[in-house]
Amino acid sequence: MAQEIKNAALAETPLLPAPATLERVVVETDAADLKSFYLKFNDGPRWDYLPGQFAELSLYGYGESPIGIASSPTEGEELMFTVFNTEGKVTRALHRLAPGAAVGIRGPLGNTWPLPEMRGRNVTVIGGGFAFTTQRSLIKYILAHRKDFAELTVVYGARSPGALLYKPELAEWEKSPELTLHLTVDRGDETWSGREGFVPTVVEEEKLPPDDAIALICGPPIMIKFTLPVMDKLGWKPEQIYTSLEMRMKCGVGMCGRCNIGPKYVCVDGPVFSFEELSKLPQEY
Amino acid sequence: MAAVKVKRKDLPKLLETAKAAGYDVFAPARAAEGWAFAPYEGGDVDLDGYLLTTAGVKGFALPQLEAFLSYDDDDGRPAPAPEGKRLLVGVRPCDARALALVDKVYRDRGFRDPQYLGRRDNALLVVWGCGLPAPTCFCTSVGGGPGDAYGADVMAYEAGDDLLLEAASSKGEEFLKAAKTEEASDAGLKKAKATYAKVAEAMAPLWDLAAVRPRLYGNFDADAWEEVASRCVSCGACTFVCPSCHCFDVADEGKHGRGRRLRFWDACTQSPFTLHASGHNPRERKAQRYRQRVLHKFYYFHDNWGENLCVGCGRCVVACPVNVDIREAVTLVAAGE
Repeated sequence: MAQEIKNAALAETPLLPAPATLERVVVETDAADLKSFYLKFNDGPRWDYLPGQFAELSLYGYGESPIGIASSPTEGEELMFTVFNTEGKVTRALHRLAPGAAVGIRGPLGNTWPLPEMRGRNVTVIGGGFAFTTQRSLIKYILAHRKDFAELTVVYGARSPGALLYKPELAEWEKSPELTLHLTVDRGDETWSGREGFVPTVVEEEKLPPDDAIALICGPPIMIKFTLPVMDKLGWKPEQIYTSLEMRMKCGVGMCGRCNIGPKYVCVDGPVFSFEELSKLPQEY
Repeated sequence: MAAVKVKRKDLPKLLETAKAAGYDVFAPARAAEGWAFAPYEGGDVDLDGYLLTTAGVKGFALPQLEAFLSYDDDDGRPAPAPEGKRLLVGVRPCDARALALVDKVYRDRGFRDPQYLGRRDNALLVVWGCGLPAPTCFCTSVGGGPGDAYGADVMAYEAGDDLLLEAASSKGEEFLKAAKTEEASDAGLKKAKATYAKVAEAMAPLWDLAAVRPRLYGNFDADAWEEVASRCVSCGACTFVCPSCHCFDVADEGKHGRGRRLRFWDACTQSPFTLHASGHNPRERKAQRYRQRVLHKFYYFHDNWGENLCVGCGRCVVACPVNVDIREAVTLVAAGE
């Protein structure tokens, strides 16, 4: 049950945040309810991480929130987190911060997207809404290690054009020969000339092939619920499809006891699980 | 391991020696409600009528509320690692077992909690075998027993006018060596242990957990959970008196940029425990939450660590204001389809 912890400081003082500074903030959505926070550790790089992991962002006086790491380790020292303002204590306070503000970071926490299983194979990313953050980390990672992976296909949908994250990057990716991007919105507007429709429909229309492939699906429960049967029809097996789960968390290191699904703790055994693994756990999430 | 013999009436001498060696000594004492561990002030350690303290010894390692860091504006400092050696005499085997189980969470996974471990590593548990268990005791059903040494540093067995002390850890071994008392004979020790084995025999296990465990988990969706939790009022008393419940909540407390980050015991039987920021709650209903408590004790923890997280002390049975009994819950759910 013991696990390998690469950040020695985290192993010895698991609840102590490392001091970092907010470098810049990018408002991602028209509603300004999602912002990306670019952070740098005050004492230089602290730890290595991989796509799929998360960290606890700490604001003294407010508390901590577990947030997926949206940057890729291939992008340099800055860590990026895209945070939805839930109007909870921490995310509300985060959304009010300006560059220069102090933020604590505890991490890296949790497991990663299944990189060993993905190497040399086709990778299909299916994302919806603001659950796209650690998938962005993975896409950037793959693009930086392009030869290690076969075809990269991305389906990404949001409610409206203004709700899509990382719009400048999406525009780049649409033109890039390195990946195939299928962007969709539930309902377009006068700025939108692209596709309209729900993510499950796009997956069905594009007949995303399961051959020698791993799929990573993240999004609202309703999107996942309707996408999985489509994938099943296309021949995908539960062990080929991975997702990343969220749970209420405090410690992030398996002590505080609230994020379990059956015997698995989302903070240390997850957040990434295959649907094969999830099929063996209680449906309590 | 070393074993020594002292006169029962000479226990104070041994405790004074421990004090002289730098230990703060705690022993069970009568309190406003039942018994509680209190600083030992000298004199006879009167355990007449003592079975269990109300609160157990969990708080010695994991206080109900503690500040694990303090902050001044953006500058956070960890609380200093707890220092000071403490000796607890008269700990029951179930309570020592419970701490050893909580150790797994706070140490063995690889993340080491400095506050918890600082207290744990500086504590010496002198565990007192149980001669007269209560009707609510069921340690023999969950892997323990009235003479169980799991988690103990020193085991104390009463044998007539004598007290036999046997080291159960290297820390205990060192302590007994320093005590410089008469060695206990193997025969005497064997005889003393046999009396506790007799006590254990009279406590027939309620279940064969190897068979019951998969049935509990297999009956995850059974209606029986609704039945066993129907009376539950989600007060959390069972978790607070439980010697092995280790879950905590975290909150910042302060003013004008200065303050402390606190952790404090939390209860899985209460709804906010798993409430998401979105409003979604995976364990919204009390039957789901009570199921979590029972399965964590009897299945999930075992799946991860090979031990039950229930030590059979029966405190939850006693403390429950509406008479929910975890023994009945296990029996009822396991008996279902």
